[in-house]
Amino acid sequence: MNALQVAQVRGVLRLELRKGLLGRRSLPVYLIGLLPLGATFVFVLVSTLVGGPPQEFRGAGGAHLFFIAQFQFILRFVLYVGCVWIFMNLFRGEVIDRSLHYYFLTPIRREVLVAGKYLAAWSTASAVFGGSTALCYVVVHAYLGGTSSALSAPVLAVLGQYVGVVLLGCLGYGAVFLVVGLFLRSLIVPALVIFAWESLNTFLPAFLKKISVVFYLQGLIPLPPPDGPVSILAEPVSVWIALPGILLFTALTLVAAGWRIRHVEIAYGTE
Amino acid sequence: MDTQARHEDAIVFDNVSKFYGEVLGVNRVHLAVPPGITSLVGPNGSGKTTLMNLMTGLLRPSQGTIRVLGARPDDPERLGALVGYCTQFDSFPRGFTGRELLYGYLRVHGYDAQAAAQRTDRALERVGMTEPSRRRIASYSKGMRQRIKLAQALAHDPRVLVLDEPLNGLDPMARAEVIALFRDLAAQGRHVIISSHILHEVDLISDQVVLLHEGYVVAEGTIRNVRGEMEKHPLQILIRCDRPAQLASRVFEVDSVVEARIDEERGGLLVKTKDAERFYLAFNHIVLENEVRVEAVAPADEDVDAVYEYLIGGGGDQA
Repeated sequence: MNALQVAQVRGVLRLELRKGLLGRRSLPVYLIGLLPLGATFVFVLVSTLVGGPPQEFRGAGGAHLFFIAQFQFILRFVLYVGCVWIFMNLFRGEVIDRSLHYYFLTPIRREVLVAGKYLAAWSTASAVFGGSTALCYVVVHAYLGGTSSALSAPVLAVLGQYVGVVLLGCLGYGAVFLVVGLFLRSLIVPALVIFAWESLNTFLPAFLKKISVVFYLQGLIPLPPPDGPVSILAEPVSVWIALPGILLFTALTLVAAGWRIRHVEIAYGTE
Repeated sequence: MDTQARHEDAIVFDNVSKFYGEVLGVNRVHLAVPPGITSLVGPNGSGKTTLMNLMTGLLRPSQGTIRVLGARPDDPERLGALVGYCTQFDSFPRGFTGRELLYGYLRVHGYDAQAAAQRTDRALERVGMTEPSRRRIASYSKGMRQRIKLAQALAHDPRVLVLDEPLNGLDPMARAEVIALFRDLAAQGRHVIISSHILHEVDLISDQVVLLHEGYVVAEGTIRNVRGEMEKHPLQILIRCDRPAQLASRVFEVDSVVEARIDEERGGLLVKTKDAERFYLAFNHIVLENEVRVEAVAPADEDVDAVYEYLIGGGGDQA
């Protein structure tokens, strides 16, 4: 990428961050991001009203246990739905608003435009869902394990890993939904199909499991899920497979998006 | 000037067709648009916007090739710097002020903060939008939105300006200002391509016209040349004078005159001639010999409206 293209990516970032964080379409993103936080506050409220949390969730160990389950909710639902909304609307939303031509009339390579928009959307998703995850984690640990425990170095180190998984999740899911939004006009059906695929991932044959984002993310979660139903969902994957796997998958998907965007025409009337 | 050099300074369509599925957009278009003001004229659905979208890279031709001052429409890095396009889409990214829109997209062009701010100010000033530019576009009137789109097309100082119905929504004073701006840009050697329904304005400002009908280019060139090539339709000349009846009897003596009658609606003598040059020569003698006091002599159908009517047989909604 040359200096001009870097400047152009920064230009796209400025516009897209503004749209993503302050625009009309950002409200659902914030609401989705608040879901786990709301669930945490409901748990805290109910527990306080009934005289304290269940025995197995007390102390720092209990906090970890509670958050492991909560993180599955974040990973499999919040992150998924949030990324569907942000990334599928990245180009499709501009077609609906009839404003994509403003970008297409600037002297920017279409692939560079994809890179800039993707980077901005990833930043938005990471800020909202990473922030939401971090807040939930701190609140859970402060309530169940005490404030000093919540702010201790080992606990914060684990938090860093959780947030890292969220950021990688935004990377992988973002690439998938970006490309879906570029290839398909109807977004609901593919979003539901991919959701079903990701949810049933655990029950798929080994070679099919690898064609999913959640497969790689599960391998990066810092603490293993507890025994019971959740443990069935977890699939041990080496970090050295998971991390490059997600990055490679993202790169390939972005190449497909770059190829696709070169062939996109502005014909709003036919949309 | 050789062919290559001409192509470097023209917008060239070489056998270009565009189909939307089975629907024809434009068909077998051969054009070479030189610098100056060129108007695309035709009714809705004649292919004006399709041609504009093709030359700005928003659409890709189904066949044929296009070069804009030598740049290919699928080369956005060259084309985007050369071309400014004021589209007919009355839509903007949501939540932006006029200033933010211009500044934001100039940054995407690659300008640094200072250059983008300077260009934003200059473009806003040129279209008279400095004052309202800090308001959200959503609060703008139609005329203001039109002007901000013009500013957006002008802001990076392009050599080619493509303007789809640029006078829409503008009040008479703003129209006059914008037309003066187009003339100024054309005088600087730029290409200004305009589509417009308002044919008398097209007549006033165009250096040449491209007449379109159902996706085909039916004529191109200066209005006078296009009109002059239409031998089937004698040129109409309206003469206002003190003795029209006497003049009518004398102009019939000229070979090329096929009709002469008093047109009370237009208040003069309407002469139809197959050869305007010969008629004007003979007319001078007639006037001098008969001492007719002539107030005005003007072609009555040498405008886009009449030319389009003759070529297509009317029926369009171009006027």
